[in-house]
Amino acid sequence: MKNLLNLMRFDLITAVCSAGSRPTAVYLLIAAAYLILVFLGVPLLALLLFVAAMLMLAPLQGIAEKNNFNKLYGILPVPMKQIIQARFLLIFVSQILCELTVFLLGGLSELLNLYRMDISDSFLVSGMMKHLLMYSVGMFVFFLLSVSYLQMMLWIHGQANEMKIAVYALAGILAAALVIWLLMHLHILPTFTELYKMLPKTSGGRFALYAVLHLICAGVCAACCAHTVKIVAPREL
Amino acid sequence: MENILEIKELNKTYSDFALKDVSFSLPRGYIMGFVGENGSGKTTTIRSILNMAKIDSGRISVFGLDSVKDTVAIKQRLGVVFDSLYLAEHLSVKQIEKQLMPFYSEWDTKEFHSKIKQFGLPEDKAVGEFSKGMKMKLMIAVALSHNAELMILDEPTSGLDPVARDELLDILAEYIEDEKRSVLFSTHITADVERVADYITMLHGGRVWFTGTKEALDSKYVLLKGAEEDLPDSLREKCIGYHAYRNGFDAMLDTQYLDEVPDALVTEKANIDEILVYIAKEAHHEKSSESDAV
Repeated sequence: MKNLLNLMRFDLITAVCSAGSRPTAVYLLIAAAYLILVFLGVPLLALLLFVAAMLMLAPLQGIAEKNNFNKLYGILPVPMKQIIQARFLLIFVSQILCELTVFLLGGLSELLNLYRMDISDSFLVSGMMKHLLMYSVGMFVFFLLSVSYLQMMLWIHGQANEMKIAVYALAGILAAALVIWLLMHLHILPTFTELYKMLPKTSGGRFALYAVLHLICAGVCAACCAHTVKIVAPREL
Repeated sequence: MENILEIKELNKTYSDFALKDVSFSLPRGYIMGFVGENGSGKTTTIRSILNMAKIDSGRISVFGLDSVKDTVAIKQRLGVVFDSLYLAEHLSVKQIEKQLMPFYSEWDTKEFHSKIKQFGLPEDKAVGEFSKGMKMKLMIAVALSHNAELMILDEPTSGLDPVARDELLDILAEYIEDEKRSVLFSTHITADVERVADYITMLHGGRVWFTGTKEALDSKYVLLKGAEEDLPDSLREKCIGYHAYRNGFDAMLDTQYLDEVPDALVTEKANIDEILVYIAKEAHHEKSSESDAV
């Protein structure tokens, strides 16, 4: 466990101090300013937070390849398996932290009654405040699965294939969205409105559903990690 | 004498290259120069020691531990310097220390900063902006700060200016002063080996051509020159890298055959560079003979 924490810290320092971190910080500052100005920017801020976390972590593999980290991995007194596991753990923890931040901000907004202010009524996303929890869980699911998949592909196929991987991932997401939309349109699958109605009515029921969703996502992330370990760890450095 | 590193019959095959029965050992308290031309197998051997390359057969023992089974424990006590920087170039020395420190149980922050100061490295500048010599010194500072007992350097002096090379060799000589630590450094700059190494292992075509003390190598080969007609056929077969010219020939000869050399021929001491050149000539000659036979 100590090794995993050390490796997460290692990756975090690499990511936070990277060249891309300054634009990401500016991006977050703008988001924070937006929140203060509009008061009700929580749903959008949530999106910005998840995207910022992705922007921060996605280039890690590229930085590692560019800086000959394979050699470093070869001399550090830790097994390759743990280096990979720590990367996926960092991704999972960062997404959980984003989600918690959104809940906290949402709760604060609710507590201070900010979303009921007039300025918010005209704002398109204000309606999302009512379903902030569901909205955040949705983003958590989408971003965790996307980043885990990308990380797995980048470890296995290398940064040189980054563009190809990104195009395939985007094509996959679009294809899945299209199929789901079609199935919903043909009433084979329930529509979003119907799905929403099917959600448990009690808070306890919803929390249980969200907990199951989190567990499934954690499982998918762990599966991506295990597959990456299986392919990458036996490779020569 | 305790061996800090022992390699026995190491074999590793790639599609275009193979290490064949590589065996040598390095005693504690000494520096070994690991020499050979480019592609002779130096880096593959080093990668095998570090378990970065999976060996086909043989055994590598470091500090008496198995290089495959005990790789994590070995790496705690090992300092490694490669020919190029393996650290994040956008980070400063301080940030790199923060990254690496937690992995080593014996990391000494005081020692690290003292080495950084001694080597004249700026602590807040991105290491990517360092010169090649400074990057090399940074990797050495890292290796020296976790009390490594064995330092392995892969082509550390290539691309360095003479002053930086001289400084590096001084650091290595100082490192083994307590006679408890050892250095294995690969290079094709044989002047560096002549200057600091106690032991030499010479690789050619994936095989160990020589391993032993520098003095043993000094007395093992001589250069042989003279007129072709003065060279008896029996001795001609024992020559290494034989090359005939219009006015005579030159070759290298194992000193065990010195008694057979006629007075008309001249012998000279061979240095490491010359030994490498004649070994390469011999291999080239053997290859040509095989092609002709086919």
